[in-house]
Amino acid sequence: MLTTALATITIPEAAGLSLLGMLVVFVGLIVLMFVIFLLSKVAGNNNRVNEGSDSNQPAISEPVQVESMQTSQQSTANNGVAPGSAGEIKLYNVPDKQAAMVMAIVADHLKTPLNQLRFKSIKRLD
Amino acid sequence: MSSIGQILQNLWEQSGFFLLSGDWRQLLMIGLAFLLLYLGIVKKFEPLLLVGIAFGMLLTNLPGSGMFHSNLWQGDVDYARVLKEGGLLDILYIGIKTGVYPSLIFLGVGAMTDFGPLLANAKSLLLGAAAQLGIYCAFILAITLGFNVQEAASIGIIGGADGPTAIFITGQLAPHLLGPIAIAAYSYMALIPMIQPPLMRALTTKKQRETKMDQLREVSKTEKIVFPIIVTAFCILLLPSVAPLIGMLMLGNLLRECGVTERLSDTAQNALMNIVTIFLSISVGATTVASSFLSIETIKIILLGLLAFAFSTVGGLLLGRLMYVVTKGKINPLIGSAGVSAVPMAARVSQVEGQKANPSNFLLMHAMGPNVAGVIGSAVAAGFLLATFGG
Repeated sequence: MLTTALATITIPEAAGLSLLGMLVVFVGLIVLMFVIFLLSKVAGNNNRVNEGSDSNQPAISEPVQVESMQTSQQSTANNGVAPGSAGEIKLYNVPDKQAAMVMAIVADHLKTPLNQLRFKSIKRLD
Repeated sequence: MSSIGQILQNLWEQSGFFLLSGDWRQLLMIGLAFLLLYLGIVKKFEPLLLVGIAFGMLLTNLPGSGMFHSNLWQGDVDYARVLKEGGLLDILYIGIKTGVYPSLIFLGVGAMTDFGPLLANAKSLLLGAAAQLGIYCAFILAITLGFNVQEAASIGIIGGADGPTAIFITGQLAPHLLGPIAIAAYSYMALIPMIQPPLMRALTTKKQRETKMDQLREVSKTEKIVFPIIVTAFCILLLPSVAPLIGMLMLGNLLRECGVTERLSDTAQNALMNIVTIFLSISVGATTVASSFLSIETIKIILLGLLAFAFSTVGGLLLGRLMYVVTKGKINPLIGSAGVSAVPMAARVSQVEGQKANPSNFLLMHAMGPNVAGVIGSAVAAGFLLATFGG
């Protein structure tokens, strides 16, 4: 029905429909944006509750932000992580050697020693 | 002896060489197929699709092969007749006509996509929406150039920079334009590193391009699992016509993120994706029949496709600039251009341009947010076009 009515349209009508189309896209994605905000709040609250209930247990797998070499070494000694490490890194479809190479390149590029950088994850983008 | 001569003459008259001499357009299409094969294999322009499309083009334009019959697909399609009289490519083409292949490709895309950067910075969705501007600009221009609404909508969707969506919409609204639209969409996606940078530099200042963005927050597993379920429910309730695309995209993503279906996720990302890509590309190539492909409309579509890509890039960049001002310089406007779907090519271009302005700038993960938002945005735009102009 609608198709028949719109089989031929004028340029101003096309412009009006285009505005409506952009509006639909924006409204749809803005609603999704608020859903994501809400979701992050709910998930954040849940995480805090979980962290609170687990506060007596050591957070072994949590990456440790390096504040000083001494604190880092103490914490890594407890966690079984190599001395000087700033925590764990997650690798997605990246072999260890390539990851090490990427980290070295980034450090060289930033002119910053590796032990002052913290890598959270390296992921291959196909 | 005369009967042998007759047989030889019959053989010659039935051969493709004889039939080819009657229509120069088929020769031209075969030449074009060779050119696309060269671009795919040697220049590596979207080779996974272009090689299949070019080969389908070659097969369909070799006279006498009977692999594809465009007359079977005109008007109301009689599928029983297609199965009875159709060639191999006719049978494969059913997957495009019914929208099965693009939807299955979306299943694989969903399984390969990490929505983490989008969840970490939800404002990326705005950039993904703004970068759909090209769809509607190209739609208006196509109407101006005399295309009907269904054709104009199919041409406009090239601006979404999303091959499966373009094929899905065109298969439903203007299947006779499938060949040129698919070729334009995939060619321009391959050319994004050439199309976008001049616009990015023209529409941003050096200071803006140098902007370093804060590290993204970590996204919890729960968010990643709940997100595809919510998006599916919301988008399909908003635009039911988009159900095949969004439904499959989000199912693929759920298989990836839920953590209990790794085998299925792996199949969707690899085996299924590869199989469907072969069928899809060769079927698209099959539609490039000389009599319909070699027309002034094809040239118009190629030009409009380029404009659609450019307008989409401009839309993303302009909103990126606005967000740069509103956030007092916390958002680098270069990530706006990644709002065109082409994942991850457009995000890589943002990264490269950002790093040219400031070598210590790492925009890739920030640009991935608008990039995957663009996939959702173009699917929503496609849903709107289908709901408005679909049968």
